[in-house]
Amino acid sequence: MQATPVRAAILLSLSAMLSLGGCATRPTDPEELAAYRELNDPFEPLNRAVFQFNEVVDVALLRPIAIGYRAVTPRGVRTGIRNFLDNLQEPVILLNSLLQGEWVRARDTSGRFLTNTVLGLGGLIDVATEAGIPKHTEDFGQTLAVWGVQPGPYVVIPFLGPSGVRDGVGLGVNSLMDPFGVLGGNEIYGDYADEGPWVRLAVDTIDWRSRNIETIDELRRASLDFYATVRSAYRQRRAAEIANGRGLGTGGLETMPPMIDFDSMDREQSREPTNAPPQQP
Amino acid sequence: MRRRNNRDDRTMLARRSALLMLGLVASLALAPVAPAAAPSESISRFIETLGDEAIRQLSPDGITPDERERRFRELLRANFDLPRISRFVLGRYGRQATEAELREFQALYEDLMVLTYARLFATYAGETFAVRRAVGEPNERYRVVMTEVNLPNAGDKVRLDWQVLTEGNRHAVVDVRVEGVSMAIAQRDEYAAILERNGGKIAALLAELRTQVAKLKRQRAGS
Repeated sequence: MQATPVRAAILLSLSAMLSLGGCATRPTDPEELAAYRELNDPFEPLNRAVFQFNEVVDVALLRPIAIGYRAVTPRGVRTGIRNFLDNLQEPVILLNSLLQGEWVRARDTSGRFLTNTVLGLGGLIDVATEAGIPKHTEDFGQTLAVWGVQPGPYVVIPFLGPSGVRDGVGLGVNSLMDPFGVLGGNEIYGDYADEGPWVRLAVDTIDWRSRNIETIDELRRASLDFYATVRSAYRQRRAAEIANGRGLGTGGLETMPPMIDFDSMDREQSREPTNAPPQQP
Repeated sequence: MRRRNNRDDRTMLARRSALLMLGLVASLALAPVAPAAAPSESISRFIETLGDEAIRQLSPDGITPDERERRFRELLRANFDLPRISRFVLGRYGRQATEAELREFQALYEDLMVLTYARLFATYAGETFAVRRAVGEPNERYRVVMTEVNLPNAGDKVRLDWQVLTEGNRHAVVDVRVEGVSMAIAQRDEYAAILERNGGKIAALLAELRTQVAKLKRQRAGS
């Protein structure tokens, strides 16, 4: 395991995130306290600082690289790279499906990996999707959630972005479980054991960023408090992924995340007729 | 917070739309001008009409940004329950607000939607919109329509779930989930963070919103 210093650095920054001070002040008013608990962001001042740091890294480095990547590679090439990278994720998705007792998904995922690796030229072509084998996403954070582990406080990880205590631990274990992961058994890369997993991580990150250039630009542009927006979106997305065993997107139409309880809001409103909001003309 | 709107972005925007962005566009934007929906009209049909109408009205190249915004605003008012969404977004802070503050909030919120999302239809690139399933009993006030937006450029699909209120003879959208992320909840959480910093004073949020709306208007004028 040659990448020990790097691993140590990752673990250090993770534990620093969890132990460093900079805690938000606990409110005393009961309603505020309830809101504070729901927010579950006791490290908010520190998180905001890390978030700002990540923003600088993104704007100065990642975003320009992503724009360049998209400019110089034809769409077909990018799709091939995306498929190849997705295929490398299937083993760890399979492991997590098994740990969650999701046999049908495990069958799909192993079928996808075999099909795409053999018939799809090592994963460059996603023949499995065309053959109707749905893609699933699972990670160890979701497995922990299925096992009943609570998300814990919100944590922004340097370079990696929004996470939480559970999902941060999940991220580390997931990488250890992943035969192609940075923390995992990089023997699979043979002579390129040192660089292999990092190249994969870098290309994966650039590819992901290149597919979200406008999305993130728009969110930044429209947000009054981008930190709070990202925190909310991250949490909601994780909750949906966990609740929706079969994943969102195309395959998950049979399940649905819980919707906003407007009925309760309406009932509460009707009890306070003096402060009615303006009616739509 | 850094906000950017340079020429590179616009060139890229013109070339293709990214996944979530279109989701956001569609979520807050797709809406038909049809006045009140007939009570017999199904919520699926309501959402389908809304999507088709938004693309038909907002995506043509020939219209000016002002015209696109005007049409977008009309669609938004006709098909979204903005008072209810505003009330939800303000949450517990809304209870302390005066009626004038609530009215101003709603107006600014509407402006923000228009300024943010109308322009994204200018980069329409053949995205298609399909209703997949409606959830809920006909007698329920709030139901859900699940849809998928196909993004030919990204080679991807985005799932949008629409929460629809049926009241009397009218359907109205109250929330949209983009891949499971509720726009109303995201907005509520964002505004709660601002209100929290300002001792829960709505006036402070209104001031920030005013600044933001003015800035987006300036950016648009300069583009």
